[in-house]
Amino acid sequence: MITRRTMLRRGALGALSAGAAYLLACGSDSNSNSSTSSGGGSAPQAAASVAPATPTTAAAAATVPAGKPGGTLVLSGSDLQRLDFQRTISTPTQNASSLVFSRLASYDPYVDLNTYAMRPDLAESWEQTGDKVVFKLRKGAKWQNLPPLNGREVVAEDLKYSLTRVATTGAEYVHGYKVEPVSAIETPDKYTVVLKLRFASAGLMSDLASGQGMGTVPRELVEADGDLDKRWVGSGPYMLDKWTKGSNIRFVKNPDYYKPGLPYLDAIEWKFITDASTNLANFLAGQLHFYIASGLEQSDQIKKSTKAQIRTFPNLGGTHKMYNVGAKGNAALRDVRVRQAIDLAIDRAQIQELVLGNDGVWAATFVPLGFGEWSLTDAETKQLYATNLNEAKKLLEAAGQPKLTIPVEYSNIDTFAQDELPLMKQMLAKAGIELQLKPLERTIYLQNQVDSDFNLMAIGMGAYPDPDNYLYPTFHSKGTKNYGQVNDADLDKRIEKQRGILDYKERVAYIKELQKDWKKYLYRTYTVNRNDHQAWQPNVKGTFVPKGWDYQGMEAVSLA
Amino acid sequence: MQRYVLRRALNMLPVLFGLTVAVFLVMRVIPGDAASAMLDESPTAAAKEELRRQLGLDRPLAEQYLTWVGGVLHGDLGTSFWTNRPVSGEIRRTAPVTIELALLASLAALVVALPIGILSAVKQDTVWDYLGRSVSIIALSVPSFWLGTLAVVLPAIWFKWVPPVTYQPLWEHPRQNLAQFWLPALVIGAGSSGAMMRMTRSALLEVLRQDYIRTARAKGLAPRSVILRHALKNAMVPVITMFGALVGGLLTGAVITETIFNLPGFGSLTINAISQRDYPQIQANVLMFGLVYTVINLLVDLSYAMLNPRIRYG
Repeated sequence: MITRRTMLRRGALGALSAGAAYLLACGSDSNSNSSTSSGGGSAPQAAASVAPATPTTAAAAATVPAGKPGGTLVLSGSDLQRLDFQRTISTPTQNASSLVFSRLASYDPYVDLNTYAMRPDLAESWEQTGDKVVFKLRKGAKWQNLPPLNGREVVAEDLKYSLTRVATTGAEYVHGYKVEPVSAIETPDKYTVVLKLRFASAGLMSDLASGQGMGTVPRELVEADGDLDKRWVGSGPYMLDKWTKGSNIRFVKNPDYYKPGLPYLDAIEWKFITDASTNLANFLAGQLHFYIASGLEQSDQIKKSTKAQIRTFPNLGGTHKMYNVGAKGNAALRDVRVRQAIDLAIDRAQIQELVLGNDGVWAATFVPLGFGEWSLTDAETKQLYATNLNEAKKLLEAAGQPKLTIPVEYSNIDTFAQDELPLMKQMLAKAGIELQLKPLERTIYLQNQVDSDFNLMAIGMGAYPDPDNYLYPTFHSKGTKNYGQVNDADLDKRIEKQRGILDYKERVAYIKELQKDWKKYLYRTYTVNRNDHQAWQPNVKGTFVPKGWDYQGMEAVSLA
Repeated sequence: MQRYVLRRALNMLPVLFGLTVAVFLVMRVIPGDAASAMLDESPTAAAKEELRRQLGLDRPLAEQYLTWVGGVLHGDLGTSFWTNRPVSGEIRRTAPVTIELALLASLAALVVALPIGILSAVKQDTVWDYLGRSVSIIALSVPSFWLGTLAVVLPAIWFKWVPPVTYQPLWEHPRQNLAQFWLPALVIGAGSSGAMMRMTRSALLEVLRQDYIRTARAKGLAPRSVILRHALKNAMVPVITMFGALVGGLLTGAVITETIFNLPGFGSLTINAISQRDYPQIQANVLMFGLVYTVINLLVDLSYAMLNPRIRYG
């Protein structure tokens, strides 16, 4: 029987599908590039003295799958809110935009699941130092052959225009923070773009490669239409054919795409199916080529009923528990001993078993397990964040809070919180902490979040490509998403320091140390992350894991 | 009759006015607004305040309402906060879907309910009556969302078949359109037929006990003629009332069925608008609801005069 919970879970998963394998890490061991990498990690290394790497680094040379041209791939997802992806955070809009609009670089969809290696896109190579990033553009990349661009070449001025538009001041331009480090953009020649930086920013490349809001948009189109809400003309593998609101969106092959032989598919049709059971039924009946199962049960049903290819990997977002240490929060939570006590009272193994059915992994710090080199290992996590009820009680006594009552708010569509929080309530009760569960309608929940009007809140997180994309906005005292009102000078210093470490290995080590020290801060508590199960019909070749909001990997998907 | 219709039409105006004021105020009282919902996971206090200004939410309530009313009087129902498109466009897009579903579902309900209700009444206390009443109880008990979900999932598992999920307008692709609509119409119709069956049965039983029916039988009229020509018409008054309420309810959107069968209808539009706090869309939709209900009520009342010549409106 399909329950409301399953239906809502599917809807939430649909929105998270693009973030399913979004790793903080970037780059594998083989990807030890300099800051001049053209296929390097999200944290470019070294300084200007290092010579530019060639485009064919180990990660960038990940083989593009071979395929047979032709056919229409059918997917499902939620409807787009609007087309102007630079002015919305709507996930379906971002996913769709990644098919049509190219970026300077993108995350390689063909390397293994736990690796975030960057590959060239419109930029063939780049060189990053503390005060600038210099991009060399691919020659011969063209805009789609549609008016008003009519297939002209993509040049440096286009990138300048697009990045400037992203940074437009205005509430709707929600991706502007990604280019905050950029103070100026220069185009010394047709194929060179120079981003001058206000400060060294190790996370900048990750943001530029993000499938969220960073597609390159053409000036002529925006000036002709006033916005990007009426038409799309990009330089990506597919062109927008037709968007029927409430029904479906269809893309057709871009015959002038700058990667020879790609894309393979003639068309992609994205049906807007909102009901989880209808979605599953369509996949089982062979009407959809791709589906993300909501858990082991659905995955097993798919295995029983079809010959689908199924890939399982940790979801890299998840739900966290955010403490409000500001004026409107519970005063007791400002004492780190209380937060440590809460963390120690949580039995992650039990949550993993009872809530996830062992279909997931532990999550104890701000870098989820599965982000390659950036993560602590499973063993390290379990050792550092093991349950210890006695220690929890001692800490509460020491903090003068032997008995504590804390309301915890969560969104009424957060099915994970609905399952997990009652269990957490029982666990914390053993330590003398009473959790009062307060489900809230989503808009009210969001309002309380931004107004920092809560005590403890279950908050979802998308998977960010780089630790800085998450650390600074969330935990720095000047962060724009610091809803917990963290104001910790020591943590501020450490966050600022990691921003400026351009050496990849050095930065990985630094972030790992911060994770090991996370108990000193604990402004959020992390418990477990579930696994995602991605199903493709057996006749689909070149399957990939969308990294973040990026569906550009569709360029090499084909149908046998 | 014309005076009656005019009077009823004029009476609609204060009703609609009161409805829009009530909805306007209720939506503003509910915590959270479009700015919070639109900025979703990336809100900052400054961005939220700016967006509120852009959407006009910082203006006095009376000004916001009067601006909207002024637009309505000029035929402009407003612009969606979310899509930046006219809300009337969204209504035009979704209304045909819901109208078609409502009409087909109502027809299905009638086609199922009337024969069974008549049979039950005519064959009172026989096995046919018990069967008919059992069917009506089942129809009343089974939730349509459960039935709808089973109707989609089970054929997919057993026969690898699902109903089409991409909407095609009736006037463009009639076959594909009906291929998508017949199953949800049947699901809703079956669910709605239970109450109508019982009402038909009880109303007909009451009429069949009347003296004029005994007279008609005594005159030697065929049983079918007695039931269908003489009794049924008089029994239909309460059934029509119920039918009107059903159609009115369906015209405002069967949200869950629309969701299960992926029909981009009015109900889904309204539910989404409420969760998104898309005030212009909500206000326009509620205005449409009010109009639909008041018009349907008027038509139902007028139909009484057609069914029963003793009823006169002046």
